Amino acid sequence: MEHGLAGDPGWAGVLEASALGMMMRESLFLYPLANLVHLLGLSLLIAPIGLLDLRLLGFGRVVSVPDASRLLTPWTAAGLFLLIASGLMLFSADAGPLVATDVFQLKMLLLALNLANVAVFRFLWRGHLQDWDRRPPLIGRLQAVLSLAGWLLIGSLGRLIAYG
Amino acid sequence: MVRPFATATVILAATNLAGPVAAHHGWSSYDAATVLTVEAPIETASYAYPHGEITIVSEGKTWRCVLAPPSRMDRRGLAQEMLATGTVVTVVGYPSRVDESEMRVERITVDGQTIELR
Repeated sequence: MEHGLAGDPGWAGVLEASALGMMMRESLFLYPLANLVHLLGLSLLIAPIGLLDLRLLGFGRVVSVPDASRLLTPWTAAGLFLLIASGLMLFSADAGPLVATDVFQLKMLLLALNLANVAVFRFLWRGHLQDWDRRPPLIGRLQAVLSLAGWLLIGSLGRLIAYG
Repeated sequence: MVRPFATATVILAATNLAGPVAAHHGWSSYDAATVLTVEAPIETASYAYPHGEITIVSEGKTWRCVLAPPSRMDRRGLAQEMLATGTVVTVVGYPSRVDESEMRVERITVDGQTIELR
């Protein structure tokens, strides 16, 4: 609060001053709880999407690509949901200073790029997963590499916010 | 340990203002080689996440003292009521490399009780 941005508070300042921001700062258990949920969400996102990316790159052929996608995608989506919900809660406690931080800005940029990658992947290859192993598309495999690297980087940047 | 009201003892080895831009939270953005000890009454206090904070004024200089997360302070016996405005505290901490009015508190003494905050 005392270290909020001077002058025009902007949207981040408004969020920080909101009832949610206030509650996140003042409740003794909400902030640690949101931290735990954020970590759970990260595990739930990164393990299935990492395994799916590896499968797209040709590892673990005992499972077909369509089966791997059907099994793993819902877990990743659940993880993403937990991450966004808990992330908004954590962000609201300290939004003003956080938006001005380079690590946080980079994390949000990479998050947007990775979500765009997911959307493009689904648009391009959703109907082509059956014959992935016979003719694995180069662009699709590049997308899997970017996804794997991107999520690991986003997770690392998130952890770095606390040490910036 | 009885010292005059609002007396400040500042042990300053060197002030290093150069450092990473936009550093905010971790211990790395504080100069641990410079140990400050300041005794002064609390001007403002916040017992809030991600970390508590008090401001104190000593020798005309206002210090924003970054404390620990409320859960940790509570667990170690530093209750919110102990950080009341006007209460004289002694803080031992390190100056920020980014903001010269900010310090990170390693330990705080309130009502004769010393609480470690790291």
